[in-house]
Amino acid sequence: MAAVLPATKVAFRPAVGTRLMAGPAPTAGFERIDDHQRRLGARPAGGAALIDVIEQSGLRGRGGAWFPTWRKWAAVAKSSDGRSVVVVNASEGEPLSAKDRTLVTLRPHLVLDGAVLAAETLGANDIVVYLSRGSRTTERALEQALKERSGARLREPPIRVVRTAHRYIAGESSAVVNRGSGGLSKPRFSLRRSAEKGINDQPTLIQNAETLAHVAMIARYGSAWFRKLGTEASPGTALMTVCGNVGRPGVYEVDLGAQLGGVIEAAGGTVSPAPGALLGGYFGTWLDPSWLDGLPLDVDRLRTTYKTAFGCGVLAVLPQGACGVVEATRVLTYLAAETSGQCGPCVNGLGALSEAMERIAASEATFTDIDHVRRWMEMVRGRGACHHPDGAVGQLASALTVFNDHLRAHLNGQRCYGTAVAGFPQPPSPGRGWQ
Amino acid sequence: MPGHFLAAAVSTAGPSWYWYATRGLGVSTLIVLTGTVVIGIVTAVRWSGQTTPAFVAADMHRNLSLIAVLLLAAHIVTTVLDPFAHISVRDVIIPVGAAYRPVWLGFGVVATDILIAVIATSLLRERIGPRLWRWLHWAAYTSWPLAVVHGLGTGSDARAPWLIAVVVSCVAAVLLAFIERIRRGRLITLPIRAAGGIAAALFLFFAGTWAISGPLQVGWAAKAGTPPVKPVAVAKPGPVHPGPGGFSDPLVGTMVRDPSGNTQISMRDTVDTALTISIRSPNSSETLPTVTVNRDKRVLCSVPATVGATLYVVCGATRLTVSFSGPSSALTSGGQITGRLITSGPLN
Amino acid sequence: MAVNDKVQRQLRVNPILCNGFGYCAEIVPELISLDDWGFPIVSSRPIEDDKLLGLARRAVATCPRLALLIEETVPAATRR
Repeated sequence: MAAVLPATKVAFRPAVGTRLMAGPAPTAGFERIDDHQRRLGARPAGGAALIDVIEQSGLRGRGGAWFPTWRKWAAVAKSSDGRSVVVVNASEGEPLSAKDRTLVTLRPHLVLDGAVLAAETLGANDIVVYLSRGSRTTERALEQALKERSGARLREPPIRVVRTAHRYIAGESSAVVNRGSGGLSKPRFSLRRSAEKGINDQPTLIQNAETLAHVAMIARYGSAWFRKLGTEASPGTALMTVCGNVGRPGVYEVDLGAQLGGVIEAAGGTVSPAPGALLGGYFGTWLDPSWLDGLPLDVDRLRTTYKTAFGCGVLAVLPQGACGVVEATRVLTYLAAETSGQCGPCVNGLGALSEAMERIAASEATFTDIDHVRRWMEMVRGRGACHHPDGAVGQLASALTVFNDHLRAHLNGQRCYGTAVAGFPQPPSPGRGWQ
Repeated sequence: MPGHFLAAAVSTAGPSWYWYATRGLGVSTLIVLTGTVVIGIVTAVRWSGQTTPAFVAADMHRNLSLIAVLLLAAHIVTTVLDPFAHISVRDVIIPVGAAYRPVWLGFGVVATDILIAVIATSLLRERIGPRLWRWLHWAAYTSWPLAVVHGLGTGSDARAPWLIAVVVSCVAAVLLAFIERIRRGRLITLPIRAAGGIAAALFLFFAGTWAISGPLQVGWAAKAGTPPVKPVAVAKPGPVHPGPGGFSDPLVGTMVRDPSGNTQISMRDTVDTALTISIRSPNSSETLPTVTVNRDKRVLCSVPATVGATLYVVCGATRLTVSFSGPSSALTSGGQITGRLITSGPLN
Repeated sequence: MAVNDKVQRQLRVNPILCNGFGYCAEIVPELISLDDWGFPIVSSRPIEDDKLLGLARRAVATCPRLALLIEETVPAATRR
C-alpha cells in the first residue's frame, strides 16, 4: 500500500534560495541593527509608489492564503484616512510551522523594516507585532530588536507588541483584530473586512511576518530582482518547514520555481520510503507519494493540476508504515478541540466528524459512519464565522481521497498497521486561555 | 376634573368606580404578565408542540407582553384618577414616599419601570445590539415577583378567596416554568442557574411567610400605611340667606306690655331660625325704641329704630323693616304675635 | 421598499450569535433549512420578490438572538 520513491534519481532544479536567510548563520542568533543596516543598507522610505513596485513584483502573502500583497495594501489605502493599523502576524498557531518564529528570531529587523514600509505607504500611525506566547526566544529577540530601533532614533511610528495565547485559531484575521482591540483571540463575525474596519474600527493591514520581510528586500532591490527566482505566478522565495520522515528537518528557504523533490533532497531526503506527506499544515492537503518528487511549487499549478496548495509552507513527510487515515484523524481531532466554541455548525460538525473518524481510524466503523462523514463535511463548509471548519474539512477530504485504499481497508474492519508510528509529529495538546 | 364630578355625583359614602376598575385591571395585568413570563420561558427551553411551530410561542410572548403593558397603563391611569387613595402622578414615577401604602406601591412602580425598560429595548432591539438586549431582558425575571408582592401589599382584596386562588395559580405556573428553565443548560451556566433556583426558593419562603402574616391577616390595611379616611365633617350648613340680595321672612314672637306702658317684643325668624329680633320701647331718656338683632348669641346690631307703620332699622350696611301682623288683641295687650322681617341685604 | 431597486439583498446569519432556535427555518423555509444540529443553512440566492423579502424580514425580527440580517449590496457599477 505504501508507495515507494522511484529508484532512479531525478535532477531537481536547486530548491534552496538564499535571500531572507542570507547573512549570519542561524547559530549566530538575532542580527543586530548595525549588522543589518551594514549588510542591506538603510531602510528605504515607503510611499504610494511602493504599492506599484509590489504589484510588479507579484509578491503574494506567505501566511497561507497567497493573496496578492499589493491588493491588500490597496484595499487598506482606499479606506484609510490617515489613521490605519499595520499588524505583523507572527502568531504562527500552526504547530508544525516554525518559519515565522525563526524569521523573527534571526532577522527581526528585516520584518520590522517591512512593517514600517507598510505603515509609511498606508499612512498608518499604529504598528502591532502580533506574537504568541509560544516561544520565549522569539519574544526576547523581538524585545531587543525594538529596543535597538528606538535607540537608533529612526523616526518611525511606534511599534507595540500584542501577545496572544498559543492557539491555532488566534491567527485568523478577525481573531487578530479582536485581540488587537483588547479582546480575546477569538474570531468575530463582521460583514466588513479588516481592511475596511479592523483594530479599533480602523482600516487594518494584517500581513504575515515573512511577507513583510520580502517587502523589505523588494523595496531595496526592486521588483525585477524579486522575479529572478520563482515562477510567473509565484515569484520569489518562500520559507518552508520540513519535518517528519526527512534527514534534516528544519526551516528552509526555497525557490518557488523548484519542485518538491528538490526540497526534500535539501532536507536530507526521506529516511524511509514515504507513503505520503502533508503540505500546508493542518489546513493543508495530503499528497500522494507519487507527487513527492515532481510536485511544482507554483501556486496556480498546485491549485489547478493537483488541487492542492502551498499554504503556510509546512511539509510533513509520513514515515514508512504510517497510515494517512489515522494521522488525518489525529489532526481533525486536534482541530475540533481547537475551535473557539462560538459557532454551532463548527463545534457540532467537527465534533461529530471527529467521533466518526475515530471509529473509522480504529477500524470499528459503523454502517453509517462514512456516509455521515461525507455528508457532514459538506454540511460544515463555509458555515463558521471563520475558516476553521473549512480548513479542517479540506484536510480530511484530501486524506480520504489520497489514502482511499487505506480507507477502504479500515471500513472493511482490517486493522491498520499504522496506529502509532514514530517519526511523525503528533498534534500537541490543545491550548488554554484566549489571551 | 371629570373624576371629581363623577365622584361627587355618586353617593359620597364609598369609593369611586375608578377604585374598583384599578383593582380589576391590576389583577388582569398580573394574569397576563404571568402568561408572558411562562411563555417566555417556554421559548427559552425550546419546547415545540407537534403541530405548532416554535416561532408561534415567540410571537405569542411578544403579543402578551404588549397586552400586559396596555392593561398596566389602564391600571395606572385609573389609580391616579381615583380620589380615594390620593395617589398622584408623582407617586407613579417615584417609588418612595406615596401617601397610600408607600412600600408596596413602590414595588409596583419599580416593576413597571423594569417592564417598560424591557419592552422599550425589545422594540428597539436592532439599535442596541444583541448583548445589551439580552442582559436587560433577563431583568424581566425580577419584575414579575415585584408585581406579585405589590398586588398583595396594595390591593384591597388580599383576603378574598378568588384573589388568593388567582395569585396561587400564577405563582405555581411561573414556579413550574422556572424550574424547567433552570433544570437545563450547559455546565458553564450551572452557577447562574443554581443562583436562580436559590433566589426563587428564598422569594417563595419570604414572600409566602410575609403574605400569610401580613396581607392575609385582618388589619393589614392599617399596617400597610393606608391613610386614615378623614371623618366626613357634619357639614356646617351654610348660611340660610347668603346674600347678596335681601330677604323677607315671617317672624313669630311675643309682646309684653307692662302697666306703665313699656313694651318688650321678642321675635324669631322662622326661616333663618338663628336670627332673633328684640324691640324695647324707649326709656325715660330716649325717644325711639331700640331694636337688637341677634344671630344665636351674637349681637349683630342694637340701634334705635324709626317708627312708622313699620319699624325701620339700619343694621350695619343693611336696612331692615319689621312689621307686625297680628293678632290685634295681642298687639294691644300682649301675647303671641307674628310679623315680617324685610331686609336689603344679608344679616350674617 | 419594492425590490426593483438596484440593491441586491441576501439573507445572512451571524453564526456566533446563532443558538439554533430554528424559528427562521419555520418562517422562511424557502431560504433557510436546518442542519443535523439545528443550525440554519442560509441560501445565498438573492431575495428577488416582495413576499420573500417580507418573510425574510419577519425571520430577522423574530430571531431571539438577533443573529439574522439582510445584507444589502449595491453592485459595483464599474469594476477595476
